[in-house]
Amino acid sequence: MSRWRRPVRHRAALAALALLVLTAGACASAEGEVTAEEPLLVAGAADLMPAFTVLGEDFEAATGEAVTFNFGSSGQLAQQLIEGAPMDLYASANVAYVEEVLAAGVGDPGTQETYAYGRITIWSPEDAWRGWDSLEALADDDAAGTIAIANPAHAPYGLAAEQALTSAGVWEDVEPRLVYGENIADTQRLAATGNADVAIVALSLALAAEEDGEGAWTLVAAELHEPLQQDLLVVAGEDDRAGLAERFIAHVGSEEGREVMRRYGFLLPGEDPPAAWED
Amino acid sequence: MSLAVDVRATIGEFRLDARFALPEGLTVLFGPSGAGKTRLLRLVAGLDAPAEGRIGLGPTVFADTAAGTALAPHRRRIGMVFQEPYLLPHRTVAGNVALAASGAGRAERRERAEELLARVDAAALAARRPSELSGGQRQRVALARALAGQPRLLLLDEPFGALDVPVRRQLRALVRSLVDEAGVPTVFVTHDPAELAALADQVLLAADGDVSVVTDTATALARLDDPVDGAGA
Amino acid sequence: MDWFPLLLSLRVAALATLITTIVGVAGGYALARVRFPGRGLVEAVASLPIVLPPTVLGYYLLVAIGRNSPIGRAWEAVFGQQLVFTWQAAVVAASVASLPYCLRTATAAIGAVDVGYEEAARVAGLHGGRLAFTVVLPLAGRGIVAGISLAFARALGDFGTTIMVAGNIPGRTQTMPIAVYDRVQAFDYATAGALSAVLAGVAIAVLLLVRRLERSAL
Repeated sequence: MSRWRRPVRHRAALAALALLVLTAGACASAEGEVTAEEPLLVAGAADLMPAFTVLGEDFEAATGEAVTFNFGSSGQLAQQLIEGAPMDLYASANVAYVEEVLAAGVGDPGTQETYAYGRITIWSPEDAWRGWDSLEALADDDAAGTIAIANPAHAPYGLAAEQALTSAGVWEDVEPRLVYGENIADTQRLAATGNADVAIVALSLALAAEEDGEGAWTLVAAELHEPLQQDLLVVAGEDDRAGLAERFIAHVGSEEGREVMRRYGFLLPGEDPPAAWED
Repeated sequence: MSLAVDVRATIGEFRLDARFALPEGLTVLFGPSGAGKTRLLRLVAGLDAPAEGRIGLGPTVFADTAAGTALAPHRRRIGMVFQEPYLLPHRTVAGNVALAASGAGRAERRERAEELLARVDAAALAARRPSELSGGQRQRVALARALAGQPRLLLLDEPFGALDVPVRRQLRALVRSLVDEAGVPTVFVTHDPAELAALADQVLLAADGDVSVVTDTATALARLDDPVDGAGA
Repeated sequence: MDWFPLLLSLRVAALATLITTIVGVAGGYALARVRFPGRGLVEAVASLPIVLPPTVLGYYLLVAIGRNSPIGRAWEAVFGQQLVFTWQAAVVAASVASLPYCLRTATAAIGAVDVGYEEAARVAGLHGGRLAFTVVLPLAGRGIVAGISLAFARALGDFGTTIMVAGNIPGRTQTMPIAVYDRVQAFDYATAGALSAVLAGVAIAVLLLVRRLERSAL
């Protein structure tokens, strides 16, 4: 091979690579900047995914304003908000995280409000269901060898599960059989994929699965854990972003919005749970 | 110019004690394996540092422990040929020589490299890669590289040790003519008496870490047959 | 299909790999060739991003470059907006996560170069940068390129650290791996699978291209 051909081919390949990277960069940068027409950015707890996705679509259909969601574990989202995440609205699964965010000087205290109360259920896919009607029954059943709950350290639904198991007096029996999901959606996935025999998940996720024709569940008595008070907070700094957030909150609190929340298993402030849940 | 060495060095377990001043011309550094020849050359080249002492070439001080000075290897203007020439595999023969060449720009260095390659009868190899060359050809290139930087001292450490006898004879003759032409003081390490006989203007003897005796060819060869002195093979 | 996450990932990975290459090769040279006090400690600390769980690494990075940090504040002073939760933060995350791969490989490759080459070159008059670029680095070339490829793959696939420091903001910082995760969280396994296949395909294509480059150049 001549001394000259080698460097030329090498340079051609390098140039191709550089071109690929630069065009990728150019395309990506088009959507870099924040504008007023940017969709509303909502940091939402994982248990809100089914309900809020629908609410977001309804809101956009009604007002033409788009909403995008960043669902995750409430604790992690709080950490990010404290460090400056540019979200407009924080919908937590636990009032404690909202307080933490406010304590760090982030968010508008005047906008804090409770938008729902959550409930927990014992859940498993249809074919794995063994008819557990209480946490005691679950603890007694040896076939429930692996039980998934969300990580109590940063997921409110996991904390509620831990509290309920403790109040029911079965924590010691059950603790060695527990596996932790990173957030409530992960937790449900553990049972759905068969990696856990059963999971304690948010009612909202159990109902969402039911809508898809999957899974079976039993409601866990509310007295067994501290109320899963779910608060939201407007975090956006600029007036027009905050205004957009307020409009979405208004939609969530409207009659249509409340209907959606009820459908997905959230207890609304001031209401009693429907009888249908207590089967 | 004369190479003047007065050093003590400890390399691992080995103690080297060298004291000599060489006259001009080609000095053969002669002695059995392990006598300290390579170690001495490394000290002169600056690849190792003496524990105590001084190395100088004419007015230039290479190292002086008392004064705390040491010239870095790349500043000593020494041409060196090792038994393994360490030619860069990713460059052509001409490229290898050009790297060492003195000269203001790439073109000038390239030209000088080609001249030197011609001088060592390796002009035809200029565009080849070192991996394509035979041992003898590689050492020719190494010689060209050693001369490329217009050195004021030449050090050759058993450069032909791994080569066949006929090749060694050819290259020996080449070294002699190069040294005569360049007029540069040269130290040629070997333990081969034939090389000593063919090349030496004078002989520097190395034995058990002691390098201090400068003598002539006849005396050195005579010593070989007399084990009592400890300078023989 | 939304191409934004893929294009963003390519851009972030390319920049991160560039940064990692410079720091990794320079650092590898120092670690392999220069004797300085605390060398072992530096090597160990530089390997931390491999040892720490990505979200933990992400959290520490978040605190280190966030709004309230000296770095974050300096960035904001210069550029008018904060560093965290932008695509530039994704580059930081990917760089930190992929650095050890390039650094360790480069250190090993440079350390493995026969010192005889360097010595012959020094006596022949080379030193410093010229010695590094014409002698040592080309001889370590194969290993260094392998390290860079590894770093690129790691940067392209980074998730946990990126999501902590840049967030999961669609159309802004949602890289390909995060998009896959996002779809999985939404129980949309079909899209997640398709996105993963595209990501894997692109990664393989780039790595093959790098191999061809390597063959023709070295």
